[in-house]
Amino acid sequence: MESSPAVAVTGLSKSYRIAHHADAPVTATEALLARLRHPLTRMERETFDALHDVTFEIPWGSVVGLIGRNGAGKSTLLKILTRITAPSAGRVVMGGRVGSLLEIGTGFHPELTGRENVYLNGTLLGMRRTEIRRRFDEIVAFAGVERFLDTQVKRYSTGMYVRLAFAVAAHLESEVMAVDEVLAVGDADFQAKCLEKLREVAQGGRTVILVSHQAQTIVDLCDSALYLERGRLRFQGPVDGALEEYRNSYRRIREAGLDASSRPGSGELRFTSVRSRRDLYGADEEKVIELEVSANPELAGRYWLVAHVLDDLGAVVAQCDSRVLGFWLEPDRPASCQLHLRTPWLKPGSYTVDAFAVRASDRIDVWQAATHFDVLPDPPYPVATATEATDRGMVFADFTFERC
Amino acid sequence: MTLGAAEPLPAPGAQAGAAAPTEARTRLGPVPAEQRPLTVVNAKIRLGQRLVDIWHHRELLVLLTRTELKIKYKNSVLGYLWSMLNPALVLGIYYVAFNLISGTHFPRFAIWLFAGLLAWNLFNNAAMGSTTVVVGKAGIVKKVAFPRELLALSTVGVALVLFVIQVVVLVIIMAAFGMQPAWGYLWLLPLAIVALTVFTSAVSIFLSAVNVYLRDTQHLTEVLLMAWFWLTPIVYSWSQMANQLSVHGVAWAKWVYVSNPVTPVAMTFQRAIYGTSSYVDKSKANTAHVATHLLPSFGPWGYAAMLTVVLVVSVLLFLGALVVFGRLEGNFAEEL
Repeated sequence: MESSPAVAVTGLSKSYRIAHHADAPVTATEALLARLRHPLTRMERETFDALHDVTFEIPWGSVVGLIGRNGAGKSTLLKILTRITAPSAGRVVMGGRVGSLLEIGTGFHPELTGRENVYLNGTLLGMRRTEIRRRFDEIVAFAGVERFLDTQVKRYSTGMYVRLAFAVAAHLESEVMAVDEVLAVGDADFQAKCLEKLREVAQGGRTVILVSHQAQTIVDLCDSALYLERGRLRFQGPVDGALEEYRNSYRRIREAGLDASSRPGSGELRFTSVRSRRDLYGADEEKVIELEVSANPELAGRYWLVAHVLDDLGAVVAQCDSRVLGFWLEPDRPASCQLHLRTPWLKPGSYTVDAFAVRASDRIDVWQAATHFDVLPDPPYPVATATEATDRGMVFADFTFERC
Repeated sequence: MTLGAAEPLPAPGAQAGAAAPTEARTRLGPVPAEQRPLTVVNAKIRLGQRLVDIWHHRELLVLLTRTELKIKYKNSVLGYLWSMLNPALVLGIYYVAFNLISGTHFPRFAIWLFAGLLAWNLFNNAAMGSTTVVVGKAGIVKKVAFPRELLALSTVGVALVLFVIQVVVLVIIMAAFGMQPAWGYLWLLPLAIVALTVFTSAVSIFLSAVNVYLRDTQHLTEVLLMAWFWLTPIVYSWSQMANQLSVHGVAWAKWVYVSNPVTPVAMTFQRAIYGTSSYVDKSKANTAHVATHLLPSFGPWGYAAMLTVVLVVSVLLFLGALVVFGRLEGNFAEEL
């Protein structure tokens, strides 16, 4: 029994049935009318596999990173492990309680006092009343809100709120802990506290599953990693191997995306081409992405374009949404446009671009890894120095120092 | 979902320091595997497992209900007093409107009406509240795992608390005016309340899940409940209705009433609280002194039989509602 793994996942799948927007009934009256009009037809639905036949085991006391591009199924997997959503098929057996730091403080009710919220939230997370009572002082001390226990939470500062919420979640005695990168929000102090707690949890022999886009967090904390691609488990093993797999996934994903019909989105319009003007840029050079979109005269209303620039670990470095510039396109004729990216100055490495065509929050076309480019390994600064002068930070900053 | 003992057992080596086993456990690592409650996630949760889960989370149910009530009266000066004042005022208004102004010959009509409304309000408040409860709590439904049925059940809990408050008001007023219930029928009330609660829970669980997918369920429910109210003998009496249906030659239409689980419950409340099954109009205009029948004249066992049928049907509906809820629940997090 002791040799049984902390987490055993077998044949896990999750598929959604998506009805095409126009025909999906959203109200009971619509559903009733549709049924009356066509009593025998079943609605045509497309199924979409968010997870497909995923099987793995995680031993006790390990910290496992979960990596993959957007939409690869990381969040779905985490939601199933934490029982927020049910799988369509398959089974998970975990040797203990599951706790999550998915989003802290969602169970808090602003009208209730701190004390009441500790009980409400603790119970929601699965603690017994007696257990909360026993650990109450500890939780409150950890959060440092002793003086405000009987104040309504809505009067708390954000810091107090987050600290109390985290304290409750962290004191849940769960053997398996799921953590989402949501942790990346909050101040540095809070992040440090979270990471510290995670290390402590793992050292205590418990098991942590961590989703993060920050390669550094994964490398620092995890002893192994899972790599997911399009809902399938592609790799399980050392962190380096998983990251390597991730970097190599670009070509595969781009090829899959070349077949427009396989891409997500409503498909009323499709990107016909997304290309980087060059394969190589200097760090401070302007990067130009050329996008072409097909036409659909029957489509009403204008749409806009979004391009995400991702580094080789899938973190979105830049989000370029044409709405913020007031740039819109009409669907009645094919569009051809250029995205000029002047800053930030990107660090050396490989970058990929995800392209989106969006209308009224309805995704028309989503092309992941539509194109890519590399950035040359020369820092964009006038003076050549040791690498340690430029190797920190996410991007190169455009800065000056001046005497005054 | 979480199986096995809820309270962790002490580790075998902990006899010496049994005072602080939990402390030791969190510091030193997890308890031995054979003592940990397993967490199993399956595509389908079986019905029995659902009931076990609900039972394991009963503390949460109490807390959710209490929170709801607290929020309801949080920022009002009179607080819970409002919930008492409200039924008392309603009772006063009925008295003025029906016995004084419209001059009905129905004696103590306000008490009759209130008895039926007690049952109806319990059902109505829970059903109305339940339509929006899962959608309204989207925040926690999307982020925290717990049996979501509890949200619907918490609206039933809130309705039950309001029900108790109304009963208290009724008892006070009846005592103050020296009115007697039918003592021989009072023992039926607990059975009636249980049957109604189970039925109400079934409807609430069903509605709370459906409204996630079809958001106008709440508006439809409002209209349906209105119709349902008038199809339940509350403002009028069972016997009046049965008479009228016979007079118009549509006695078969009684099936609408017979198949309505709220009807027997409301009738039991009326029989026990109003006290009699008929009244004699003693006003001067009426010299015949013919008794007007309100309810069937059978004794308490007749009511008990009706309630038993309602209870059995309600339990089946409740289990059915859990099955439906289970099918719809899987995608709540995505639909919200």
